Amino acid sequence: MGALKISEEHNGTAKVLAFEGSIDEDTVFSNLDISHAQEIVLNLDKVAGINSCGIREWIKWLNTRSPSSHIVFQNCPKVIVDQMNMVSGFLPEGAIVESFYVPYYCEESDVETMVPFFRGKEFNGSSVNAPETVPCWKSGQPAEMDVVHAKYFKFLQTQSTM
Amino acid sequence: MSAAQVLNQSSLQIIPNATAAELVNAVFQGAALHAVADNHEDKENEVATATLLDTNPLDFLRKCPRILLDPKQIMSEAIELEEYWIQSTKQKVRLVKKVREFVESIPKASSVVDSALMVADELITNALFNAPVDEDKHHVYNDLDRTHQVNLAEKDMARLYLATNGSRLVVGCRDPFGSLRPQALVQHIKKTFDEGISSAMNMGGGGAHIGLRMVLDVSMSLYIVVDPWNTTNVFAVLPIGRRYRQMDDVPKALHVVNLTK
Repeated sequence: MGALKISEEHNGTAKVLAFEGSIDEDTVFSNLDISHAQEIVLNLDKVAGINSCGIREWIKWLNTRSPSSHIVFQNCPKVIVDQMNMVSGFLPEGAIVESFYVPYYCEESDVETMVPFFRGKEFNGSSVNAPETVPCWKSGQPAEMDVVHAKYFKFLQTQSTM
Repeated sequence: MSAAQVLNQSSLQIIPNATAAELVNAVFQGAALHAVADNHEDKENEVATATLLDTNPLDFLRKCPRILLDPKQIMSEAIELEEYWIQSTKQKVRLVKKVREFVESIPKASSVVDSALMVADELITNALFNAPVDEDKHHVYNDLDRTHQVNLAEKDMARLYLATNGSRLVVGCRDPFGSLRPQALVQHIKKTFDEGISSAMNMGGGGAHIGLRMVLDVSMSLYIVVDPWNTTNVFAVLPIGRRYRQMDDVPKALHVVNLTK
Protein backbone atom coordinates (compact mmCIF):
# COMPACT_ATOMS: atom_id res chain seq x y z
CA MET A 1 0.00 0.00 0.00
CA GLY A 2 3.01 2.34 0.18
CA ALA A 3 5.87 2.71 2.56
CA LEU A 4 5.17 3.82 6.09
CA LYS A 5 7.18 6.74 7.47
CA ILE A 6 7.71 6.84 11.20
CA SER A 7 9.14 9.86 12.94
CA GLU A 8 10.36 9.74 16.50
CA GLU A 9 10.50 12.55 19.02
CA HIS A 10 10.89 12.78 22.74
CA ASN A 11 8.57 14.84 24.86
CA GLY A 12 9.88 14.75 28.40
CA THR A 13 9.95 11.08 29.31
CA ALA A 14 7.60 10.14 26.51
CA LYS A 15 8.67 8.55 23.25
CA VAL A 16 6.40 10.06 20.60
CA LEU A 17 6.07 8.14 17.34
CA ALA A 18 4.17 9.58 14.39
CA PHE A 19 3.10 7.28 11.56
CA GLU A 20 2.41 8.27 7.97
CA GLY A 21 1.32 5.87 5.22
CA SER A 22 0.19 2.27 5.33
CA ILE A 23 1.11 -0.35 7.88
CA ASP A 24 1.94 -3.54 6.02
CA GLU A 25 4.52 -6.28 5.63
CA ASP A 26 7.20 -3.74 4.69
CA THR A 27 6.84 -1.80 7.91
CA VAL A 28 10.03 -2.29 9.91
CA PHE A 29 9.12 -2.11 13.56
CA SER A 30 12.36 -3.72 14.71
CA ASN A 31 14.11 -0.34 14.39
CA LEU A 32 11.68 1.14 16.89
CA ASP A 33 12.84 -0.06 20.28
CA ILE A 34 10.06 0.48 22.81
CA SER A 35 11.25 -2.14 25.29
CA HIS A 36 12.60 0.44 27.75
CA ALA A 37 10.19 3.31 27.16
CA GLN A 38 7.99 4.11 30.11
CA GLU A 39 5.63 6.31 28.13
CA ILE A 40 4.84 5.71 24.48
CA VAL A 41 2.67 8.06 22.46
CA LEU A 42 1.48 6.83 19.06
CA ASN A 43 0.25 9.55 16.73
CA LEU A 44 -1.70 7.71 14.02
CA ASP A 45 -3.18 10.74 12.31
CA LYS A 46 -1.73 9.96 8.90
CA VAL A 47 -2.14 6.21 8.77
CA ALA A 48 -3.81 5.52 5.43
CA GLY A 49 -4.38 1.79 5.69
CA ILE A 50 -3.39 -1.48 7.27
CA ASN A 51 -3.35 -5.02 5.92
CA SER A 52 -3.31 -8.44 7.57
CA CYS A 53 0.48 -8.59 7.83
CA GLY A 54 0.50 -5.05 9.20
CA ILE A 55 -1.95 -6.02 11.93
CA ARG A 56 0.25 -8.94 12.94
CA GLU A 57 3.46 -6.88 12.96
CA TRP A 58 1.73 -4.16 14.98
CA ILE A 59 0.61 -6.60 17.68
CA LYS A 60 4.03 -8.28 17.82
CA TRP A 61 5.74 -4.91 18.12
CA LEU A 62 3.50 -3.64 20.90
CA ASN A 63 4.15 -6.87 22.79
CA THR A 64 7.84 -5.91 22.99
CA ARG A 65 7.10 -2.99 25.31
CA SER A 66 7.59 -3.18 29.03
CA PRO A 67 4.44 -4.37 30.83
CA SER A 68 4.75 -1.35 33.12
CA SER A 69 4.85 1.14 30.25
CA HIS A 70 2.11 3.66 29.67
CA ILE A 71 0.82 3.79 26.09
CA VAL A 72 -1.31 6.46 24.44
CA PHE A 73 -3.05 6.36 21.04
CA GLN A 74 -3.65 9.75 19.41
CA ASN A 75 -5.64 10.82 16.34
CA CYS A 76 -6.74 7.34 15.36
CA PRO A 77 -8.28 7.32 11.86
CA LYS A 78 -11.21 5.04 10.99
CA VAL A 79 -8.95 2.30 9.61
CA ILE A 80 -7.29 2.06 13.03
CA VAL A 81 -10.54 2.30 15.01
CA ASP A 82 -11.91 -0.58 12.91
CA GLN A 83 -8.98 -2.77 13.94
CA MET A 84 -9.24 -1.73 17.59
CA ASN A 85 -12.82 -2.98 17.49
CA MET A 86 -12.13 -6.18 15.56
CA VAL A 87 -8.78 -7.51 16.69
CA SER A 88 -8.10 -8.07 20.35
CA GLY A 89 -4.60 -6.94 21.28
CA PHE A 90 -4.49 -4.30 18.57
CA LEU A 91 -5.31 -1.81 21.32
CA PRO A 92 -3.30 -3.24 24.22
CA GLU A 93 -4.87 -3.65 27.61
CA GLY A 94 -4.40 -0.48 29.62
CA ALA A 95 -3.71 1.70 26.57
CA ILE A 96 -5.33 5.12 26.61
CA VAL A 97 -7.03 6.44 23.51
CA GLU A 98 -6.65 10.19 23.66
CA SER A 99 -8.37 11.01 20.37
CA PHE A 100 -9.87 9.39 17.30
CA TYR A 101 -11.81 10.35 14.20
CA VAL A 102 -15.50 9.82 13.55
CA PRO A 103 -16.92 10.08 10.01
CA TYR A 104 -19.83 12.44 9.35
CA TYR A 105 -21.60 12.47 6.01
CA CYS A 106 -23.43 15.26 4.20
CA GLU A 107 -26.10 13.95 1.84
CA GLU A 108 -26.34 17.21 -0.07
CA SER A 109 -22.69 17.59 -0.97
CA ASP A 110 -21.78 13.88 -0.83
CA VAL A 111 -18.82 14.83 1.31
CA GLU A 112 -17.37 13.02 4.28
CA THR A 113 -15.92 14.94 7.18
CA MET A 114 -13.71 13.23 9.72
CA VAL A 115 -14.38 14.86 13.08
CA PRO A 116 -11.83 14.43 15.88
CA PHE A 117 -13.19 13.22 19.22
CA PHE A 118 -11.10 14.02 22.28
CA ARG A 119 -10.97 12.24 25.62
CA GLY A 120 -12.67 14.34 28.24
CA LYS A 121 -14.61 16.28 25.63
CA GLU A 122 -16.54 14.15 23.16
CA PHE A 123 -15.93 10.97 25.14
CA ASN A 124 -14.97 9.96 28.62
CA GLY A 125 -14.46 6.32 29.39
CA SER A 126 -17.14 4.48 27.44
CA SER A 127 -19.47 7.45 27.46
CA VAL A 128 -19.85 9.41 24.23
CA ASN A 129 -21.24 12.91 24.27
CA ALA A 130 -21.10 14.12 20.71
CA PRO A 131 -23.44 15.83 18.27
CA GLU A 132 -25.38 13.61 15.86
CA THR A 133 -24.75 16.25 13.21
CA VAL A 134 -22.07 18.83 12.45
CA PRO A 135 -22.12 21.51 9.74
CA CYS A 136 -20.73 20.21 6.48
CA TRP A 137 -17.56 22.10 5.60
CA LYS A 138 -18.70 22.31 1.99
CA SER A 139 -22.46 22.89 1.98
CA GLY A 140 -23.00 24.16 5.51
CA GLN A 141 -25.87 21.65 5.75
CA PRO A 142 -26.01 19.17 8.63
CA ALA A 143 -23.65 16.23 8.17
CA GLU A 144 -24.80 13.13 10.06
CA MET A 145 -22.65 10.90 12.19
CA ASP A 146 -21.93 7.99 9.89
CA VAL A 147 -21.26 5.12 12.26
CA VAL A 148 -23.20 2.52 14.20
CA HIS A 149 -22.61 3.61 17.78
CA ALA A 150 -22.52 0.13 19.30
CA LYS A 151 -19.90 -1.00 16.82
CA TYR A 152 -17.70 2.02 16.24
CA PHE A 153 -17.42 3.04 19.88
CA LYS A 154 -17.09 -0.53 21.15
CA PHE A 155 -13.39 -0.12 21.95
CA LEU A 156 -14.25 2.62 24.43
CA GLN A 157 -15.53 -0.05 26.80
CA THR A 158 -11.90 -0.69 27.68
CA GLN A 159 -11.23 2.96 28.43
CA SER A 160 -11.23 4.37 31.93
CA THR A 161 -12.79 7.72 32.79
CA MET A 162 -10.60 10.76 33.42
CA MET B 1 -29.07 -23.16 11.12
CA SER B 2 -32.30 -24.99 11.82
CA ALA B 3 -34.16 -22.26 10.02
CA ALA B 4 -32.13 -22.75 6.89
CA GLN B 5 -34.23 -23.13 3.82
CA VAL B 6 -32.86 -25.48 1.22
CA LEU B 7 -33.81 -24.41 -2.26
CA ASN B 8 -33.86 -26.59 -5.33
CA GLN B 9 -30.29 -27.74 -5.09
CA SER B 10 -28.61 -29.07 -1.99
CA SER B 11 -25.59 -26.91 -2.74
CA LEU B 12 -27.48 -23.68 -2.03
CA GLN B 13 -28.78 -22.50 1.30
CA ILE B 14 -30.77 -19.35 1.81
CA ILE B 15 -30.44 -18.59 5.49
CA PRO B 16 -32.75 -16.11 7.25
CA ASN B 17 -30.89 -13.06 8.53
CA ALA B 18 -27.63 -14.95 8.36
CA THR B 19 -24.53 -13.44 9.85
CA ALA B 20 -21.17 -13.89 8.16
CA ALA B 21 -20.27 -16.48 10.79
CA GLU B 22 -23.43 -18.46 10.03
CA LEU B 23 -22.68 -18.44 6.32
CA VAL B 24 -19.15 -19.67 6.97
CA ASN B 25 -20.52 -22.35 9.27
CA ALA B 26 -22.98 -23.55 6.64
CA VAL B 27 -20.19 -23.96 4.12
CA PHE B 28 -17.83 -25.49 6.66
CA GLN B 29 -20.35 -28.14 7.68
CA GLY B 30 -20.75 -29.10 4.07
CA ALA B 31 -24.36 -28.05 4.16
CA ALA B 32 -23.82 -25.73 1.23
CA LEU B 33 -21.39 -24.55 -1.39
CA HIS B 34 -23.38 -21.37 -1.66
CA ALA B 35 -24.70 -19.76 1.51
CA VAL B 36 -26.80 -16.66 1.01
CA ALA B 37 -28.50 -14.46 3.57
CA ASP B 38 -32.19 -14.35 2.72
CA ASN B 39 -32.19 -10.56 3.00
CA HIS B 40 -29.27 -10.22 0.59
CA GLU B 41 -30.07 -7.34 -1.75
CA ASP B 42 -28.98 -9.25 -4.84
CA LYS B 43 -30.48 -12.58 -3.80
CA GLU B 44 -31.85 -13.32 -7.24
CA ASN B 45 -28.46 -12.70 -8.82
CA GLU B 46 -26.75 -14.77 -6.15
CA VAL B 47 -29.03 -17.71 -6.89
CA ALA B 48 -28.43 -17.28 -10.63
CA THR B 49 -24.66 -17.24 -10.28
CA ALA B 50 -24.76 -20.18 -7.86
CA THR B 51 -26.84 -22.14 -10.35
CA LEU B 52 -24.44 -21.41 -13.19
CA LEU B 53 -21.50 -22.30 -10.98
CA ASP B 54 -23.10 -25.65 -10.27
CA THR B 55 -24.17 -26.42 -13.81
CA ASN B 56 -21.43 -24.87 -15.92
CA PRO B 57 -18.58 -23.58 -13.77
CA LEU B 58 -16.23 -22.94 -16.67
CA ASP B 59 -18.87 -20.72 -18.26
CA PHE B 60 -19.18 -18.91 -14.94
CA LEU B 61 -15.42 -18.37 -14.82
CA ARG B 62 -15.38 -17.13 -18.42
CA LYS B 63 -18.03 -14.58 -17.53
CA CYS B 64 -16.34 -13.31 -14.37
CA PRO B 65 -16.29 -10.60 -13.21
CA ARG B 66 -19.13 -9.22 -15.36
CA ILE B 67 -21.59 -11.90 -14.32
CA LEU B 68 -21.22 -10.88 -10.69
CA LEU B 69 -22.64 -7.45 -11.50
CA ASP B 70 -25.60 -8.59 -13.55
CA PRO B 71 -26.06 -12.20 -14.70
CA LYS B 72 -28.67 -11.09 -17.22
CA GLN B 73 -26.69 -8.38 -18.94
CA ILE B 74 -23.09 -9.34 -18.74
CA MET B 75 -22.15 -7.35 -21.85
CA SER B 76 -23.80 -4.20 -20.60
CA GLU B 77 -21.90 -1.10 -21.64
CA ALA B 78 -22.64 0.29 -18.22
CA ILE B 79 -20.02 -2.05 -16.81
CA GLU B 80 -16.55 -0.63 -16.49
CA LEU B 81 -13.79 -3.17 -16.33
CA GLU B 82 -10.05 -3.00 -15.83
CA GLU B 83 -7.57 -5.87 -15.63
CA TYR B 84 -3.92 -5.98 -14.61
CA TRP B 85 -1.27 -8.65 -14.53
CA ILE B 86 0.28 -9.45 -11.18
CA GLN B 87 3.88 -10.48 -11.60
CA SER B 88 6.03 -9.14 -8.78
CA THR B 89 5.97 -7.72 -5.29
CA LYS B 90 7.57 -4.56 -6.66
CA GLN B 91 4.39 -3.87 -8.63
CA LYS B 92 2.13 -3.93 -5.63
CA VAL B 93 2.24 -0.24 -4.79
CA ARG B 94 1.52 0.66 -8.41
CA LEU B 95 -1.34 -1.83 -8.66
CA VAL B 96 -2.94 -0.61 -5.45
CA LYS B 97 -2.66 2.92 -6.80
CA LYS B 98 -4.53 1.79 -9.93
CA VAL B 99 -7.25 0.35 -7.70
CA ARG B 100 -7.51 3.65 -5.85
CA GLU B 101 -7.83 5.58 -9.13
CA PHE B 102 -10.49 3.18 -10.38
CA VAL B 103 -12.60 3.31 -7.23
CA GLU B 104 -12.23 7.06 -6.75
CA SER B 105 -13.53 7.57 -10.28
CA ILE B 106 -16.85 5.93 -9.32
CA PRO B 107 -19.45 8.39 -8.00
CA LYS B 108 -20.48 7.88 -4.37
CA ALA B 109 -17.85 5.21 -3.82
CA SER B 110 -15.82 7.06 -1.19
CA SER B 111 -16.93 4.73 1.59
CA VAL B 112 -15.48 1.65 -0.14
CA VAL B 113 -12.10 3.06 -1.15
CA ASP B 114 -10.25 1.79 1.92
CA SER B 115 -12.00 -1.57 1.74
CA ALA B 116 -11.25 -2.01 -1.96
CA LEU B 117 -7.58 -1.20 -1.41
CA MET B 118 -7.40 -3.72 1.41
CA VAL B 119 -9.10 -6.41 -0.70
CA ALA B 120 -6.75 -5.80 -3.62
CA ASP B 121 -3.74 -5.80 -1.32
CA GLU B 122 -4.70 -9.15 0.21
CA LEU B 123 -5.52 -10.77 -3.15
CA ILE B 124 -2.27 -9.58 -4.72
CA THR B 125 -0.28 -10.90 -1.77
CA ASN B 126 -2.08 -14.25 -1.97
CA ALA B 127 -1.37 -14.49 -5.70
CA LEU B 128 2.32 -13.79 -5.23
CA PHE B 129 3.07 -15.77 -2.07
CA ASN B 130 0.37 -18.36 -1.41
CA ALA B 131 -0.65 -19.53 -4.86
CA PRO B 132 2.58 -20.55 -6.62
CA VAL B 133 3.49 -24.23 -6.51
CA ASP B 134 6.29 -26.15 -8.20
CA GLU B 135 5.97 -29.16 -10.47
CA ASP B 136 5.56 -31.38 -7.43
CA LYS B 137 2.70 -29.17 -6.20
CA HIS B 138 4.72 -27.85 -3.29
CA HIS B 139 4.15 -24.25 -2.34
CA VAL B 140 7.28 -22.31 -3.17
CA TYR B 141 6.78 -18.94 -1.45
CA ASN B 142 4.11 -19.67 1.14
CA ASP B 143 6.41 -19.71 4.16
CA LEU B 144 8.50 -16.74 3.08
CA ASP B 145 8.47 -13.55 5.04
CA ARG B 146 6.21 -11.18 3.12
CA THR B 147 9.03 -8.66 2.79
CA HIS B 148 10.78 -10.97 0.30
CA GLN B 149 10.77 -9.95 -3.33
CA VAL B 150 8.87 -12.37 -5.55
CA ASN B 151 8.98 -12.32 -9.33
CA LEU B 152 6.70 -14.71 -11.16
CA ALA B 153 7.43 -16.15 -14.59
CA GLU B 154 5.03 -14.94 -17.26
CA LYS B 155 3.16 -18.23 -17.27
CA ASP B 156 2.63 -17.91 -13.52
CA MET B 157 1.25 -14.37 -13.48
CA ALA B 158 -2.10 -13.75 -11.83
CA ARG B 159 -4.77 -11.38 -13.06
CA LEU B 160 -6.34 -8.61 -10.99
CA TYR B 161 -9.88 -7.61 -11.97
CA LEU B 162 -11.78 -4.43 -11.17
CA ALA B 163 -15.34 -3.98 -12.36
CA THR B 164 -18.29 -1.76 -11.56
CA ASN B 165 -21.78 -0.99 -12.75
CA GLY B 166 -22.07 2.03 -10.50
CA SER B 167 -23.85 0.27 -7.67
CA ARG B 168 -21.48 -2.65 -7.09
CA LEU B 169 -17.72 -2.97 -7.20
CA VAL B 170 -15.95 -6.23 -7.93
CA VAL B 171 -12.34 -6.74 -6.92
CA GLY B 172 -11.07 -10.13 -7.96
CA CYS B 173 -8.04 -12.20 -8.73
CA ARG B 174 -7.35 -15.33 -10.78
CA ASP B 175 -4.10 -17.21 -10.48
CA PRO B 176 -2.97 -20.06 -12.75
CA PHE B 177 -2.17 -22.55 -9.98
CA GLY B 178 -5.41 -23.70 -8.38
CA SER B 179 -3.51 -24.61 -5.24
CA LEU B 180 -5.92 -23.17 -2.69
CA ARG B 181 -7.60 -25.79 -0.51
CA PRO B 182 -11.09 -24.40 -0.01
CA GLN B 183 -12.07 -26.56 2.95
CA ALA B 184 -8.92 -25.65 4.88
CA LEU B 185 -9.53 -22.00 4.09
CA VAL B 186 -13.13 -22.12 5.30
CA GLN B 187 -12.03 -23.98 8.42
CA HIS B 188 -9.57 -21.21 9.15
CA ILE B 189 -12.09 -18.43 8.52
CA LYS B 190 -14.43 -20.27 10.88
CA LYS B 191 -11.67 -20.27 13.47
CA THR B 192 -11.42 -16.48 13.23
CA PHE B 193 -15.09 -16.29 14.14
CA ASP B 194 -14.98 -18.98 16.83
CA GLU B 195 -11.80 -17.91 18.58
CA GLY B 196 -11.27 -14.35 17.46
CA ILE B 197 -9.00 -12.91 14.81
CA SER B 198 -6.02 -12.54 17.14
CA SER B 199 -6.14 -16.18 18.23
CA ALA B 200 -6.44 -17.41 14.67
CA MET B 201 -3.63 -15.21 13.40
CA ASN B 202 -0.37 -16.84 12.38
CA MET B 203 2.25 -15.01 14.43
CA GLY B 204 5.15 -16.86 12.79
CA GLY B 205 6.59 -16.70 9.26
CA GLY B 206 4.55 -16.45 6.10
CA GLY B 207 1.18 -14.76 5.94
CA ALA B 208 -1.01 -13.74 8.86
CA HIS B 209 -3.82 -16.05 7.65
CA ILE B 210 -6.55 -13.51 8.34
CA GLY B 211 -6.63 -11.78 4.96
CA LEU B 212 -9.68 -13.52 3.50
CA ARG B 213 -11.59 -13.05 6.76
CA MET B 214 -10.92 -9.32 6.37
CA VAL B 215 -12.07 -9.53 2.75
CA LEU B 216 -15.27 -11.31 3.79
CA ASP B 217 -15.95 -8.63 6.39
CA VAL B 218 -16.12 -5.86 3.81
CA SER B 219 -17.82 -7.82 1.03
CA MET B 220 -21.50 -8.34 0.31
CA SER B 221 -20.62 -11.41 -1.74
CA LEU B 222 -17.46 -13.45 -1.81
CA TYR B 223 -16.75 -16.09 -4.45
CA ILE B 224 -13.93 -18.57 -3.97
CA VAL B 225 -13.76 -20.99 -6.88
CA VAL B 226 -10.90 -23.44 -7.25
CA ASP B 227 -10.24 -25.49 -10.32
CA PRO B 228 -7.58 -27.68 -8.73
CA TRP B 229 -4.09 -27.27 -10.22
CA ASN B 230 -5.57 -25.03 -12.86
CA THR B 231 -6.93 -21.77 -11.42
CA THR B 232 -7.92 -20.19 -8.13
CA ASN B 233 -10.52 -17.45 -8.44
CA VAL B 234 -11.42 -15.07 -5.63
CA PHE B 235 -13.93 -12.32 -6.33
CA ALA B 236 -15.31 -9.89 -3.77
CA VAL B 237 -18.38 -7.79 -4.46
CA LEU B 238 -18.65 -4.53 -2.51
CA PRO B 239 -21.70 -2.25 -2.34
CA ILE B 240 -21.38 1.31 -3.62
CA GLY B 241 -23.37 4.31 -2.49
CA ARG B 242 -23.65 3.27 1.15
CA ARG B 243 -22.52 5.22 4.09
CA TYR B 244 -20.19 3.62 6.59
CA ARG B 245 -23.01 2.96 9.02
CA GLN B 246 -24.90 1.04 6.35
CA MET B 247 -21.91 -1.14 5.55
CA ASP B 248 -21.67 -2.88 8.91
CA ASP B 249 -24.72 -5.03 8.54
CA VAL B 250 -24.87 -5.61 4.80
CA PRO B 251 -26.36 -9.10 4.28
CA LYS B 252 -23.80 -11.36 2.71
CA ALA B 253 -23.33 -14.36 0.46
CA LEU B 254 -20.47 -16.80 0.44
CA HIS B 255 -19.72 -19.18 -2.41
CA VAL B 256 -16.93 -21.70 -1.99
CA VAL B 257 -16.63 -24.16 -4.82
CA ASN B 258 -14.04 -26.81 -5.53
CA LEU B 259 -14.59 -27.96 -9.10
CA THR B 260 -13.50 -31.52 -8.41
CA LYS B 261 -16.56 -32.05 -6.26
